[in-house]
Amino acid sequence: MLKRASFIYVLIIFSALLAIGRIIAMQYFLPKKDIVSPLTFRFEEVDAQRGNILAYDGRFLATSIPFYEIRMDCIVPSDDDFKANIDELAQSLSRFFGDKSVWEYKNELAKARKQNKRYKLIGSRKVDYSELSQIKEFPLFNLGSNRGGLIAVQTNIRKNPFENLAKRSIGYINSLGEGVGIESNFDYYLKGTKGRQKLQKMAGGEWIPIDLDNTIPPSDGLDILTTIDIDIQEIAESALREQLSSSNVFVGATAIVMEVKSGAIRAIANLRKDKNGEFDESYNYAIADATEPGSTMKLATLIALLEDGYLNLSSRIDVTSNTWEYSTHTFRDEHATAFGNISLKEAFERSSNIGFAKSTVQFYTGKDEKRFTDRIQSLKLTEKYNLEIKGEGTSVIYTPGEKHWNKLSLPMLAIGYGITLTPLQILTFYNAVANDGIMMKPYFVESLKRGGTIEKEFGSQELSGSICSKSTIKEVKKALRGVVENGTAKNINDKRYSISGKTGTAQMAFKGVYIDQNGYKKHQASFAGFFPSEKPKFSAIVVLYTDTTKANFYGGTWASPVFKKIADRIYESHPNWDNPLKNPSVQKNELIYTTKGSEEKTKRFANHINLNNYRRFTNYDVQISQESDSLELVSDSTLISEGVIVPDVLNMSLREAFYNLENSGFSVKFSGRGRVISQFPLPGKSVKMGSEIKINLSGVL
Amino acid sequence: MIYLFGLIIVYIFINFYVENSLMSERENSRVMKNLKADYTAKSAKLLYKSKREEIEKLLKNNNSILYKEKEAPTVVILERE
Repeated sequence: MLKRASFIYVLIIFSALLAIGRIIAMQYFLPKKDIVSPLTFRFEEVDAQRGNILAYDGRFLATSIPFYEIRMDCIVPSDDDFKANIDELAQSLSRFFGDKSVWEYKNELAKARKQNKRYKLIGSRKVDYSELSQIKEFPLFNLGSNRGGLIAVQTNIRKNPFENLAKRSIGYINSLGEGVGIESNFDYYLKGTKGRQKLQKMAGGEWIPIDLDNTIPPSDGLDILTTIDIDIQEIAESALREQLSSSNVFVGATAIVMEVKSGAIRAIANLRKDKNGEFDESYNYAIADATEPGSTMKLATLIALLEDGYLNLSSRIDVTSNTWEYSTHTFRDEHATAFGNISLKEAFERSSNIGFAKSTVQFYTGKDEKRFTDRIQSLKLTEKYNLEIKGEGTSVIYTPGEKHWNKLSLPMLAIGYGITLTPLQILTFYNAVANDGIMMKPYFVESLKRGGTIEKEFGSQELSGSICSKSTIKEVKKALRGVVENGTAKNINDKRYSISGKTGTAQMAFKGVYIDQNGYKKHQASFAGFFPSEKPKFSAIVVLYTDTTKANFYGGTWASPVFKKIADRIYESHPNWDNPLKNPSVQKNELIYTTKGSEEKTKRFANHINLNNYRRFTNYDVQISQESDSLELVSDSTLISEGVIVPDVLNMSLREAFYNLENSGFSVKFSGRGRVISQFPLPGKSVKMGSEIKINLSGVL
Repeated sequence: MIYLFGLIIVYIFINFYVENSLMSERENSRVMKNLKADYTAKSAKLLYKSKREEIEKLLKNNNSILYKEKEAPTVVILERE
């Protein structure tokens, strides 16, 4: 008996040791592939999140939003569950999607169940997460996916939250990698790299990642911080649209706004008429369309005449007739009566073709023709910028000695023909004049960011030396201001701030001619300039293109009003126009009116400037005035310069926390990884703008 | 022997615990991912409404007394005494 018991005991011990040995071998010694079964293990690719395209203030211009396709495994619900809920489910679906009647939904689902369909598509569209949450609460689906049969298939859809705003510059990319704009040109940075992980099927059918040491985590794409200012972009597009809608003859238009000092493009709008007669951002006129600029080119001619010392602004020019015949061409000034004997400045202000053509012929004809074209080329007008957005148009300038060059070429070049330039090239040239001769490279992308941290910075770039002497710049600036004060753009002269610029009205060649035999022509009406004239901050160009027409479309009438609307919006919303007001002195017995705003901030501000006597009108103000006719506006952020409330970033990822805190004007110091578990100073505390916020992160929530 | 069995039991228990933790971690990340999706979708919708022209439209529809500024704001520098 004892013998048998001992034998069984030894057998059990032996089996136990064998089992332990096997466990140890499997765990540490046997090659993994020997024990991997496709039923219990699998590899999974982990998608990287595509980076966002951001406006210069951090707002999304393009982002990836998950959407869900609703499907149903029709054989999962039991007969009882199906029968009990199908009516209500059909009713909910019909109400939610609105594409089919209750009866249709009910019939469809019943039929799909009979046919054992396990992937039945439901609804006419994809839904977002909050809609999916609603659908999950529908009868039958609220029993859970194992009883209700709901399947939600996630796909990330690229969305432009501002819809058509800057659509062409943001661009797109298709599944074949073809596209335009920033989406296409920065795809390498935006797409990130996919990760890979090994999963094991656990009890309950759940797959969990294992072998974490060999897991390759996905690397999310970088965010692209562009230079686009949403507010300026918005006004540029809406002002263009409004102008285009005023005549059926327009086929397209573009407007670009540039920051003078840096060359950053703050807005770029391109509208082209589609076959339905609607205007859409479908063609990048701004950078791709090199055409003959017309009178905006007279600025280059003026610079050449002054720089070469042939004339000054007061030199007299004979424009006593409004036609001038030279070679085979009759030059005309579009003016009822001849200008007479006018100064060079006046010729520029009134955009006299005869004045400029005559002067150029007088000083550069013969051997000096090359001197003129060399001078024009030294102004870097035809520069190629290697932009971040592909499709730069190629500009052409005819020079003496080429087969296209003839006797007429010189005076024609002086008034903007025989040279092709893109609107961006013209603007960059005008911007250089505004910037005291320093030409800045136009750019669209400020930096590449990961989670709020800059990984690569592009920034502004100077395109070598000054385009001409400082004294010439000073003179041409006077002439450009004169155009708005007394000349072809005086319709946009504004008392509040000063604009300088030049109108352009060019006839565009079509079918090899400028005017066909029936008198039809195509126009390009433009205005290029900068503001405020004294200390230019922004430069802009507006170009409108017409279809064939017998009417004239002048830059002063059609393009400059659009320019003005854009400039007005910028003027009204940018606080740096005048010198800052230091310690505004207010007499205590004067009554101060505040019309809107937070009472606490108004009180704090009033105390700060020793002002005890003020009256409030309403509860929502950002302005304070001494007298009703002399408003002194104070931005909301100025009022709270003393303290800023620390936002709550708890539970956020590092990227979200950085975004929130930096946007609120704080610097951030962090430790750990994962999600924010603590922050100091605490949320809701009032601290100084620019203070450092310390955040601790952890992977354990 | 009992000690060995004890070790095996502890080993199994720890393994189950780890598996459970991994599963809840995965579930949590799924919830977080969904919440982030919800946040992104909602903030994208709100962004459109943050456009100046949209705000102006809303103000007009609500008969607001707020008006568009015609003058540029001036920066006021307050120097502490």
